[in-house]
Amino acid sequence: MAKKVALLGMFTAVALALGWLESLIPLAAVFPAMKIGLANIVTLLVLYRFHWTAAACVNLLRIILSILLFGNPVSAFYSLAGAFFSLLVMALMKKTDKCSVTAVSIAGAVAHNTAQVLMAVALMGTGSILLSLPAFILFGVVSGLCIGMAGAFLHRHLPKEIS
Amino acid sequence: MKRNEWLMIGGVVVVALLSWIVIRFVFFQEGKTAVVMLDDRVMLEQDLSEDCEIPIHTQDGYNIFVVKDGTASIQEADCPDQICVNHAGISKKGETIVCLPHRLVVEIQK
Repeated sequence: MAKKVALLGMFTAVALALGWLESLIPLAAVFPAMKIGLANIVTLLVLYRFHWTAAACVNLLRIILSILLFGNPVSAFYSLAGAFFSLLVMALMKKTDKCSVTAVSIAGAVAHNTAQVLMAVALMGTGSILLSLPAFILFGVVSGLCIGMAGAFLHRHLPKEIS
Repeated sequence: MKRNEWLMIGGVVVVALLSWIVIRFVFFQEGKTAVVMLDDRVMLEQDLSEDCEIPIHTQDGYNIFVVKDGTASIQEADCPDQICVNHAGISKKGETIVCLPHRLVVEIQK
């Protein structure tokens, strides 16, 4: 139990650092409001090495901490919607035992972006934001593929004790 | 990844690409007016044929809304992410610039 808490705490710190690292990449200039989702490497790994409840805890802690550190309560709605819808989809796909880590990651990224677009529609009441959904889904496939390959690599090569 | 997984992902990509193309042709025609909305309330309607530079003050900060050569953009803002400032200018119907921190939306209509 103590080992699990320590490991999950460490994973939360890594996720937080990855989220910060990502904010340094000036991707917004090319693709407005789009993120690669580096922190999802950690979510994926925790989902596979531990349990979906552990992944949910790490996600929630990461979001709370990043609001406290980098502060923007409005974006919390978007982060929470994206993180939890994506985790739901990934946990269900993993449960079927028929999907590879990379495929689970892609589905998670697409779900994350879809949830954020829907959240924007709900918060702003502007249906026209929906028109950007296909672009977000395409971006999700690309970023989910990269993140998924990184996550699969780590899952394969990290020592078995980390679980 | 297995073959059927690639096929499924390919399917998603094809559907998304097609709908993106359809959306661009059906919805995105040159618009006439830029509408600035704050939380769903219309703050300003600006004809795209007239150049202007209007500061918009929200309770969370300011955005400087600019129309130049038929294109609307946000020139400057004090929001933390600067996504609205970095966003390219918009001129086609249905295009939006969204400033999430200030809950401000610029949308091209008509």
